[in-house]
Amino acid sequence: MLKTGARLDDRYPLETEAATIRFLSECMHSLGTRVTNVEQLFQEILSMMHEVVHARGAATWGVEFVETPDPARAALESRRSLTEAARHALAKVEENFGDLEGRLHHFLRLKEHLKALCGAYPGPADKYARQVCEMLYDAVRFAYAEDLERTQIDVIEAVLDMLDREGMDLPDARTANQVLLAAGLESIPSGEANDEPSPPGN
Amino acid sequence: MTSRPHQATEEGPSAQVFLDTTVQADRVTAALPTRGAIAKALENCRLLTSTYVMGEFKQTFLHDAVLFHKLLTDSRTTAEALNRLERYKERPAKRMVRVFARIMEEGPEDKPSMDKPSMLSRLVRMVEWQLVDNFLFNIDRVLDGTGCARARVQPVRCNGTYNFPVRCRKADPPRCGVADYIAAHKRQLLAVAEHLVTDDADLQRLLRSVGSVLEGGSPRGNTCKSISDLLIALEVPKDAVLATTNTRHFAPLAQVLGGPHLTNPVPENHERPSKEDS
Repeated sequence: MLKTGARLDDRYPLETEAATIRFLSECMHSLGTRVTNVEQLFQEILSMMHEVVHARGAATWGVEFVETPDPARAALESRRSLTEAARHALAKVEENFGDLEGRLHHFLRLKEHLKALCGAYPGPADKYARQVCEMLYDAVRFAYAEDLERTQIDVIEAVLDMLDREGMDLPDARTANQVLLAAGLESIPSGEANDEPSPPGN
Repeated sequence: MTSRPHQATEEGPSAQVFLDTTVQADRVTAALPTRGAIAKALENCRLLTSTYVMGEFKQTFLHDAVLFHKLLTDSRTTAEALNRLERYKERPAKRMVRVFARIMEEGPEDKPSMDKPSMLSRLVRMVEWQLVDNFLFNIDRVLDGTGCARARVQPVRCNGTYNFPVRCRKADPPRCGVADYIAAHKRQLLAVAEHLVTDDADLQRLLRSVGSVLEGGSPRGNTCKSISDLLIALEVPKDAVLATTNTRHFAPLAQVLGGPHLTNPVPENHERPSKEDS
């Protein structure tokens, strides 16, 4: 995610101030819509600048730019994609709520996406986000699709929304736990003997 | 004699219900439908518990989570750590063993169990905050009559695992208020010593410990443990009922003490673990 105050010209030097302004104007123009999300705007601009710099480099100097992999950015993109997939599966669960078999099918997809999402928080800085993701995954994997309640879908969605936030901390994780518990979505499984086996994750 | 807790109505205030260790353990680790049924039975009630109950909970459930974290840190696989767990307990809390086993069952039987880093991450969550948070979930008040030292102990991260000295031994007792608490309730202890007649082995042990305390013996360590049900019964406020699944111990005590009233919020078809099991 682009940090507030990042200076564009640190990474993408343009020759003059006028060139920079002209470039930004073109970007704004090409977006063609009202700017409602500044962060998104800056990401669009960065992406366009990226292409321009590459093209200019190839045409002018005959050089090829080699991408330096950015693991943090890759993890972020992976998280966004998986969260979106989970959200999509959840929407399908709701859409198919009246059809038990359909509900089961999409609930299994949801479990798969959440399981994959748990692995997309590799760093120590992601400790609490990972805990929230694991709690959510455990809460759904210990639940049966046929026992799911509509209100629980909203709660799962709310926790997915929390996962969109960067820099989650302990209070966030505890809040997520409370929200899940209040909805009867338990992330600590049964310790009873002769209990029904937990449903497999996927 | 137990009854269902009286729930709040529009006309009257909500009932106060004191949750003992058996009910608290069920709220955190029972089968999921049982947890739902308990939550429903206690809905709209004002929920109380105590530091003494929390001390018992920590000494069992949180202690086991810390122990399993240590074993897992020292094992190659989650399955290896689980196999080692029971050998490390004086009285294995089978419930926690089963909780860990179920967390590890990540896929169908033919798939390997959860990998070690994923399991460790879950244990860190449980050890550092989740078990205690779940214990305190929806609790309105935690009473602290005994000043139980076990409730105050927190796991402290140390060399990749946790230091958690939750044990209470007579030889080296932690600072707590149990002696003062017992002194303040001497009349009730005398009543129990004089009037409790029982064939139950646990209650007979309780009676011996009460006698020892009344003769001036230390109430710490195992003595404290053996009179735990009495201490909990004495903690319940007069206008509260005691929620427990352990009527075998609490009903005779309540009869001698003239209260508290008991309630069992756990569904009747719920299989009760033995004392050693929980």
